[in-house]
Amino acid sequence: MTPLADFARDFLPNLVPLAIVAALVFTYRRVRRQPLWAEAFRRMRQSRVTLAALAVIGLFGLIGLLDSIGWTEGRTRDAERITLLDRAFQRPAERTYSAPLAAKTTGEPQPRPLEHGRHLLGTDGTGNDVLYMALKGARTALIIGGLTSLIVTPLALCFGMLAGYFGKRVDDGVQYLYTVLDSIPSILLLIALMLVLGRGLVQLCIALGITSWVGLCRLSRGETLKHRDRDYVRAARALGVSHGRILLRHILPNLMPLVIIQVTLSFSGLVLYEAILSYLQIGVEPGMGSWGNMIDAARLELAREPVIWWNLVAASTALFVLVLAFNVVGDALRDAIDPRLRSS
Amino acid sequence: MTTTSAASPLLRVEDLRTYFRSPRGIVKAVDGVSFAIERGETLAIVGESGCGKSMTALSLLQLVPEPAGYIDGGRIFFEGRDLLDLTWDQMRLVRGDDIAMIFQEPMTSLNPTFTVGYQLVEAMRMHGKFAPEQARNRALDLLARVGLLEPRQTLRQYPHELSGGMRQRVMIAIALSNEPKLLIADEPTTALDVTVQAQILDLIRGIQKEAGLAMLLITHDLGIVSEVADRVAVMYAGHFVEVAPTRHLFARPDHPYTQGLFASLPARNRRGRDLATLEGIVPDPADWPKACRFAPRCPFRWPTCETVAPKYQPAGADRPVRCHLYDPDIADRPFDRAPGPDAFAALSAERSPKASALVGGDNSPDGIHLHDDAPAHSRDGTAPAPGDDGTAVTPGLQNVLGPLPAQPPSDPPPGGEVRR
Amino acid sequence: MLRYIVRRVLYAVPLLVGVSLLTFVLFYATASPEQMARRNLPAKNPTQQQIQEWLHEHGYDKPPAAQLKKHMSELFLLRFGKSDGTGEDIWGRIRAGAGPSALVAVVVFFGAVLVSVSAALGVAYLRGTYVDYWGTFLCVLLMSVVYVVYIIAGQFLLGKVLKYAPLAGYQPGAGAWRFALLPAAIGIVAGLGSRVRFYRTMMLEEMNQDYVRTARAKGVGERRILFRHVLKNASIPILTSVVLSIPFLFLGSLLLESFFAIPGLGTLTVDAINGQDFATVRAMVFLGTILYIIGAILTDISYALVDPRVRLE
Repeated sequence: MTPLADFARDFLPNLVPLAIVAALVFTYRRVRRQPLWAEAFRRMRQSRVTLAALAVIGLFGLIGLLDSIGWTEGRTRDAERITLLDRAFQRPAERTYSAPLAAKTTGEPQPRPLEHGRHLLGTDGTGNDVLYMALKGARTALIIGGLTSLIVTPLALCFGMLAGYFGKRVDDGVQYLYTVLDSIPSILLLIALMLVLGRGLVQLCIALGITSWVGLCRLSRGETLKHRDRDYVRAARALGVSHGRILLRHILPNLMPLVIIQVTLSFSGLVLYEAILSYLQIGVEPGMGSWGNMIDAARLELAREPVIWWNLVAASTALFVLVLAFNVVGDALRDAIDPRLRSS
Repeated sequence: MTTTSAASPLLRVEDLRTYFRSPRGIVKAVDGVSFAIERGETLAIVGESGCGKSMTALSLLQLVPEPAGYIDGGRIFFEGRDLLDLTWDQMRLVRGDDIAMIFQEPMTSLNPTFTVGYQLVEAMRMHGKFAPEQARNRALDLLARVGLLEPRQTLRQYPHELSGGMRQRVMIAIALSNEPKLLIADEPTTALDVTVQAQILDLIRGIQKEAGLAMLLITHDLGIVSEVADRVAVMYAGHFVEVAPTRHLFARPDHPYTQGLFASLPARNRRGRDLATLEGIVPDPADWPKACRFAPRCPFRWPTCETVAPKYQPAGADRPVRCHLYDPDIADRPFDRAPGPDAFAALSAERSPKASALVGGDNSPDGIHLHDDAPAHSRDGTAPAPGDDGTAVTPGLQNVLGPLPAQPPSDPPPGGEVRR
Repeated sequence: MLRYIVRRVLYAVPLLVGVSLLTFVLFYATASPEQMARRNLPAKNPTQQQIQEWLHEHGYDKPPAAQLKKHMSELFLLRFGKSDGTGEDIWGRIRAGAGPSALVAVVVFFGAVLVSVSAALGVAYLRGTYVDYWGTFLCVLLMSVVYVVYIIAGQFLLGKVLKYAPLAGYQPGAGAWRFALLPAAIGIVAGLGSRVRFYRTMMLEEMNQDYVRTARAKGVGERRILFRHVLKNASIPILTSVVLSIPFLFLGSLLLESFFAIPGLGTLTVDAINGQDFATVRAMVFLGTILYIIGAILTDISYALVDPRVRLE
């Protein structure tokens, strides 16, 4: 391997998370200046609960980032990529289970002392530190939510706006399409898709994307219909502005607040779905650090004697905290932007 | 006119205060309102939106929207009992029975999922005065009484199957079902077509006479007031500024605000002139102006108005008016009384830069003529310099007033009486 | 009313056509029949003839157009054919599994609506108080827990630790309901958070309407206002959400049944997943869609019963 190839292999994947962070920061700064968002953020800042939830999301994001940046050690072809998170927990695995803060292994006829010090949350079946596995799951969860939303949003917006704007045949076609998809109970469609695509993170995102774009599509179609007949659109047409430009520059910005709310609120649902599907053995790859996989493993662990509960508790708590944070932020965002949609 | 028996009016409200908690502080929607209504009498509360008149009505039945709104203080005596002392259950019995209320929007004020008959019978059954069969028969009678042509059919219909006028008639029927002593009507005709408005008003008046019903009418429409009310209370910024018998108010409005209201009515004797407006907007309820709340919009104001709050019942006035001009204890009053609607219109135009730009000089036919040498000091509110003949009147005002013909008291005079 | 039902059923046909096309594309276009045969034959290195036999048996050896025709007709006639994995008759297995699944699902469905509506009524009655505030917060918390964790924790706590109900298994017949108890209870709790929050919102929205103010002005008591006026109006959006929660029942039966070893349709599907049994999954997708559409039609009919402004033509 040439040094350049090595460098490319090592360094380039690190650009992706950094680019994502940069994009988020950039968007935030651009958006903050608009009065609608400035007011919304101001209102959100007033609630301590919302701020705490945002901090939690930020924390998880940071952990995910740590797990995304890394490089390979060694020059052999199958040297593994080691991320910053891996380095922080740089302890090779134990032999098998051990309870939190215990000094010996659990579940063996003859408990052996642990070789690598105490583990805060214990170790799982393959001896990995449970805290480490739980933190690794953060990246998986954020990718699932983020990538799926990234797939869903353009798809749904595109179809929704086209259907709402052009009406008639286009509308009929799109409506038929999403009614068909909507008639299939999501879990069944997900199963079918995952069977065909196979297990894996990206495949899961695609499948989740296909099953969840309908909601946003309906929303954007409805909103586009409302805006299409407004005077400012008629004025633009009278001035000779092309359809595409109207859609992109005039109607789309009016849809964005609702889109953001919807995406934030459905984020938590996506993360929850991953856990369920991994439990059903059609989620992410088996070896991948994900909360779903941990919960799946926990199923049998509870039946053992003594009961091994820390794996399940760690994964479900981490999952719970992230989902709760997104629910709170999503609610706060919705209340801040459009009080008419309040739920409390 | 009913004879006032100071001993026992049907309803006597003392210093009612209804406030709202809002992110910007306490909003004093009703800030010290007092009035009384005799049996069979109709009192109208008139004012622009946001002055607190609807809240006054809702406060009587303690239907103020919670949890933001609350009654801060005051007393509401109904037949001698203070309603604010009652428990929730006791108050519930008063509602719909002794005191009934009809609202502005008949479309949304009826439950869309229940029939008219159900809602009407429910009103009667709530107070245990009628057995089910009795209530049903009474319902038919009531619907006939309010002018619905096919009561039996209407009983079975749902609100969305009726027209706006019919719905309001149903509302009236519901209100009358327990033979209340006082009817509170909150803008009952505002949401209706003009032709239907007249019918509903006639209906209400007829029923009132028949039943000897007292009524509190909330409205912003002076026309309705002149037809229906015995007495009128003019409300502005959370409190009354003037209360008077209807004829007297229309003949000789005392408070500048009332005069402004009359000035902005299109009237026959002002044909050909520009319509006057009240400059400015209704003040923000979260932040009532200090001292006199009407002062920012009052063309007759002088510095005292912005520093001292006017008394409501100044000694020497024969009707309650909340204005320094009627307070003999205030020394530096520029006039004896507010000069009247025409003066209001003229001075308002003069004091407002925008309006006076619109009002032309000598070119406008029959327009209000303003001299170019109208003194600048009249714009910044200082006391006008004495005129030539010793009157404390600005040249602009003088132009409008001209020679004052003697007017019979029934027509609104073009100008008030001025100190000569 | 009858005309409406007929129309809705006719509407459903193009939808089902679309669904079956979709499944056809998914399954046939992406997996080569040979691979499927290899996977499902017991022998390690099956001969070409064995493969051909299997393909013929399961109908995978014909050209795509014929397969499409066969696929569609099979689905619409509900002749699902044989399972790829076990070779059993799929429809037979469905019939066997329908009973237990229905038991659990029906209990969860009605139980969830009952419990959620009652809880929402209670919270709405006490609106503004601490009960309301903490209750809503609790709902958000409950919403944030994974279904699977509810099952695991529920089974563990109630079954193992407290020994309230049989841990797992199922026996048809009179005693069947005992086995449905624990899974149904967990299924109800799992959906509680989001339902109660939504119902509460709908009820509070109705409480702010003008007709409630009129009712108060008539002297109607708070309880009657809530339980009659508000409930009747709020049940309209609540009905909508109830039909949208039917897919949740599918999810529930999948998870609950596999966990509690109840031999229903959920277990059938899970087994099909594990065995890569496309034929069965295809059948379940179609069946699930039919059930969902039926649920939607039933809901529309119930609208007409509750909301007098709705006329079903």
